[in-house]
Amino acid sequence: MVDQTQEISIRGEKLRLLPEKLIEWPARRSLLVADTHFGKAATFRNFGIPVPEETTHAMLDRLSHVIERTSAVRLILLGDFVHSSLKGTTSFEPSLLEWRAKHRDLEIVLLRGNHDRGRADLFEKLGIRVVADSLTEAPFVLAHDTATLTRGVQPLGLELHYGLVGHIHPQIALPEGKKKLKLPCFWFGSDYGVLPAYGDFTGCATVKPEETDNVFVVAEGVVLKLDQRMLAT
Amino acid sequence: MGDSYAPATRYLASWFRQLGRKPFPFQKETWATYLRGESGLVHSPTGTGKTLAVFLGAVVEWLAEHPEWLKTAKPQAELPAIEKFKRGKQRESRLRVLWITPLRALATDTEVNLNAALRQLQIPWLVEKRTGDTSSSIRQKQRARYPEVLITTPESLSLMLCNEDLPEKISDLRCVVVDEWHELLGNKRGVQTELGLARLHTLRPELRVWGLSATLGNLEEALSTLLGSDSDHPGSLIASDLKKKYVIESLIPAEIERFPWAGHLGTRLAPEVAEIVSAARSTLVFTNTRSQCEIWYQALLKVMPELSGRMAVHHGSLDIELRRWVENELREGRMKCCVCTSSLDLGVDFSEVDSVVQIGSPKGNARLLQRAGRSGHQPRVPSRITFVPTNALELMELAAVRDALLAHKIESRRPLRKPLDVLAQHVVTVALGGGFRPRELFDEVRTTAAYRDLSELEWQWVLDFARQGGSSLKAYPDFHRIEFVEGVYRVTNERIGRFHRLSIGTIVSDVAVQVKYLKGPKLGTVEESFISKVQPGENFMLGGKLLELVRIHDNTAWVRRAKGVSKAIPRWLGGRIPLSGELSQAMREKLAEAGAGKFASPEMRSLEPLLELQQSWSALPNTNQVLVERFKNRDGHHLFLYPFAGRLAHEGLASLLALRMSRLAPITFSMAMNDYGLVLVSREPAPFDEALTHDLWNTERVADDVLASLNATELCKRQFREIARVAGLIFQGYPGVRKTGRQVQASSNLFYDVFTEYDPQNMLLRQARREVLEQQLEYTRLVEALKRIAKCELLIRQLAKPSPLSFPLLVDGMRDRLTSEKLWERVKKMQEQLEKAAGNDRGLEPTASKKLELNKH
Repeated sequence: MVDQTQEISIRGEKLRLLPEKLIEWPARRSLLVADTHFGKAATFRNFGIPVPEETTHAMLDRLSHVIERTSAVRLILLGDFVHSSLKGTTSFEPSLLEWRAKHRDLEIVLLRGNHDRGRADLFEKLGIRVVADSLTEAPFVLAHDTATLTRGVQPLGLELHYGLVGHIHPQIALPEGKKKLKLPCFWFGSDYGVLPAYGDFTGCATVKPEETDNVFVVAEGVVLKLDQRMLAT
Repeated sequence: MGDSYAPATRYLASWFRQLGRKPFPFQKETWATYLRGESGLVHSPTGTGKTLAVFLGAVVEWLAEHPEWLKTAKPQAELPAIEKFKRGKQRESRLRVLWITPLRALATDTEVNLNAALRQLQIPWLVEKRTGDTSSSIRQKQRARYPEVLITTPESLSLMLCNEDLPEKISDLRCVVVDEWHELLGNKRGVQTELGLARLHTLRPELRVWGLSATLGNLEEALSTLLGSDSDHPGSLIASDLKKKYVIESLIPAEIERFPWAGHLGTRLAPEVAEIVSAARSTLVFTNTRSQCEIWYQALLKVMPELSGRMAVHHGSLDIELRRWVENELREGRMKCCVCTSSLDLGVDFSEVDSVVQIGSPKGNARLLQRAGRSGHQPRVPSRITFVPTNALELMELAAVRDALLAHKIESRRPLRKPLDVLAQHVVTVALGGGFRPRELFDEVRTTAAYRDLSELEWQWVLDFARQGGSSLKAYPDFHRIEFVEGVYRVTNERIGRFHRLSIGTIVSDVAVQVKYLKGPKLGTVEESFISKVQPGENFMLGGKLLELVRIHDNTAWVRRAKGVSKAIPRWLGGRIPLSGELSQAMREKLAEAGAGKFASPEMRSLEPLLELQQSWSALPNTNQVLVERFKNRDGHHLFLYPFAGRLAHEGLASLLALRMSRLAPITFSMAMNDYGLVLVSREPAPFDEALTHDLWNTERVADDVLASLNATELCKRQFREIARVAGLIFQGYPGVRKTGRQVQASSNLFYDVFTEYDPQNMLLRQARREVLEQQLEYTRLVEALKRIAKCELLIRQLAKPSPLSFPLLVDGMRDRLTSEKLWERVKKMQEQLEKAAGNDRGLEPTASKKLELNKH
C-alpha cells in the first residue's frame, strides 16, 4: 500500500504530514490542525445562503478517525476553530458536543484566531483550553498567525524555535495547460511553516513559495512533496 | 380608431405636420392596435421609428382622457403652461408606462428621446429612470410620486416587485414596453422579464405589453414568449415598413493565399479600410474581439495619423466614462471613425454614421444586418457595410451571408427553458413583495413561456430550496429565506430581505468593476462581464496599457503593469461566437456550387484558385456528402472531418469521436477545431473505418459520452458560476456592508464541490449540466450534425499534402505548442512549399516581415 503520509524533520523533531490536512507530532502524541471554521455553514445559512450541515459531520468523523489511528492524546487547534460568533448560528454546536463526548480524555488546546471571538461559553462547554497569544513547546512556537507568533515570545525566541501557524489557507497553483490546478498545501519556510485549512467549506489563497521552501501538496488522499520546477510555466 | 381618439390623433397629426414629417404606416398601425387595448411586437432591423410607434399610442390614450388639456395645448407651445399643469396635477400622477431596457446606457438615451417628444408635444409627463445607477434620494422621491413613464432594467423591475406597495403604485399602469427584446430573449434576463410581466399581469389584467425588436428568424416565438399564455389576444406582429436598402460588399485582397489560416491577413487591408473611412462622413469599424479592436485601431492610426483625436476605440474593457464620451462624440458627429466590438451593437442610432466596416466574419446574418443598420439613417440613404476578411475562407462566409439574406434566413434567438436559478430568485422576490400562495404562484409562473413545462416536482424543489435549503428537512438547519405563515409564503427576516434586494441588483451584466493598481491609483472601470472571464495571471489591455490581473475582490480588479510583451497570440479566432446554423448551411451550399463549377459572386470568383485546388487535391462535397481527409506528417496521423456545424458543436463532436474510437484501440488524440470542421491527431492511424462499422454516428448516449470525454466537471463549474450568483448563493460584497459581507464570501467552486459531495440531488447541479450541454457545447447542433452525417455519403480522401480546407486546422493544432514567432515561421515555410507544389512558383510577399511586427503585441 502506498504510504499516503509524509515524514519530515524540523529542528530535529519528527513530524508526519497527514492527507487529512493535519500534522502528527509523534513525540508528544499530539495532532496539529488549523482553520477548521466550524459553523461556517451555519453562518451562511443564517444569511440566507444554503450550505449543507453535513459538512460539519464529515469533518468531525474524519478527525475522529485520525485521532483513533494515531492514538493521539492531545489536539492542538491553530486558530479559527469556529467561523463566527453570530447569534443564531449555533446549529453546529450539538454535533461538536456529541463529538467531544466520544473523545472525553483528549486534551484540546486552541490558539485563538481572529474568528474565535465571542464563543467563550462554547469553548468552556467543550473543555478547550484557550491560549490568547502563542504557545512555545520546543522546538516549536505555535500560534494562529505570524503576527501573534512574535507576541508573548522573547525577542530572540524565533531564532531558537520554528513557528507553526495557520490563517493563510495556503494552496499551490500548478500550471495545467492553459489553466491551473489548485491544491491545498503544507508550506514550510526557513522560520515558520503554514498548515493548510482543514475546513471543508473554506476558501484557499494561492501562495508563491521561495525556491528554498519546502512545499507538500495534498491531492486525492495523498501528501506529495512538490518539486518547485513544476511551478514554472 | 374609435371616435373618442379622433381629437387626440388630429393633435398628433398637427405635430407631425409642424415638423414637416408624416407618421409611417407601421406607426399608425401600432397606435391603432394599442388603442384597441392589444399587445404586440414591433420589429425592424434598425431603430428608426419603433420607439415613437409604441410611445405615441400611450400619449394619444392620455390625451383622449384629458380633453381639457387637449383644448389648450399647442405643439411647441411655451413652457409656463406645462409647468403649471404639472404642478396642479402633482398629487394625481400615476405610473402609466413602464419602459424596460437591457442596458443602463440605453436608459439614458431613451429618457432623452422620450423627453424630447413630450416637450414638443407639450405633454406634462414626467419621465424618469430607475436603474442600478439611480441614487437613493431620487428613488425616495419616485416612491412618493411616480413619474408617468419609468425607464428601468429587468433587474430593477425585480426590485420593484420586492415592494409590498407596488399594487397601489401600478394601479393605473397601462403599458409595459420591452425594448431590444431580441437581446433579452435568449438569456436569463429575458426569463426574469417574463416572470416580472406575469406578475404585473396578475396585478393588472388589462395591461398591454409591447416589445421592440430587431429582425429575428423566430418572430412568432419572440411574440408569444413576451406575452405568455395568459392574455386574451394572441398579440400582433408589426413590421416596420421602412424599406431599407442594403449595400454589402467586401474588400478582396489582391493576393488570395490558397492556404489560409485564422488571422492570416491580419491588418494587411488597413490602407483600403482607411480609404473607406476617409471617403465617408463617419464610420464604425466592428471587430470580433477586443484584442482585434485595439490592433486595428493602432493599424488605422498608423495609416491616418491626422485622424488622431477624431478616431477612437470602444469596447467593454474600457473605462465607462471614456466610452460615454466616445458615444457622445459619435452622436454629435465629431467622430470620424470608431473601432468597436459588439459594445456598439445596441443603442440609439448615430445619425451621422454613414458607413460600417465589419472585420472578420460576423458569424451570423442577423448580426451583419444589425450592424449594417447602424449606418444610413438619412432618408433614401442605403445602409452600407464593407466586409474585410481576416483569412481567405471568410470571403466564402460573406458570399454565404448574401445568399442567406436573399433567402430571408435570419437567425433565431431561442428562449431559455425553465432555468431554476431564476425561479428560485423570483420566488423570494414575490415572498418579499407581499407574499404568495404556492398554488397561485405556480399557476402564474406557468403562464410564462419559460416555465410552461414546469413540473410539480421541480416547483416543490424550488420552494424547498427557498424555505429549507433543499429537499431534506435536516440538511440545512436554521436556514430559511422564506417562511410559510398561514398559507402564505413570506420573507420574515429583515436582513434576508435586505440581502436579497442587494443581490438582485448585482446580477446585471454591466456592473462596473473598478480597476486599480495593487500599489497605485485607480485606472478606470470595466464591465464585470469582461473582467470575470480574465483569469488571474492573464494579461489584458486597458486604455493602451498592458496589465496583468492579480485578483478580483470586493468588486475591484487589482492589477499590475504586465511584464514585457504579452506572449499571447492575438486571438483572431473570432471570439466565442460560432458560425450560425443558417450560415453553416449556406456555406455547404456554396461549396457544392463551387464543386459544380459555379462561382457567382466576386467573393467566390476570388476564391476560385483555392477551391479548384481543394477539388483537385481532395474534393468539394455537395450538400449530400461529408468530406473526410486523412493525412500524415511528422506530427502524426491526421483525420479531418468537415461537418460545418460551428466551432462549439465541433468541440463536443471531436471529443465524442475520440472517445468512441479509443474504445476500439488504445489510442490518444490531440484535437483542434474551427467553424468548418475538426481534426484528430494521433501517433497511430485512427481506427476510423472500423469505427464506422461500429455505429460511430449513433445519437444515443451522446450527452453522457460527450460529458465523459471532456472535462465535464470543469465545464460544469464554469457554468455553475452564473447559476450560483442568480440563485443568491454568492454574496457580492457591497461598500458599507463589507464587514458582515466578509463572513459569507465563498466562491461558486466551493458550493459546487459541497453540493456534489453532500447534496447531489440539488437541482442547480442538474441545471449546470444541462446548460453546459445546451450553451457551451451547442448540444442540439451536435446531435443534428451526427444525424445528418449518418445520412450523407462520406467522401474519404487520402491526402499527399494538406488541402486548403485542412490548412487552418493544421495551424490551429500547432498553436498550443509553439510561440507566435516559431508558429509564424513554420507556417510560412509550409505555405511556400505547398504553393510550389500547387504549381505557382510564387513564394510569399516581401511584406511578410512587416506582418510579423503587427501580429506581435
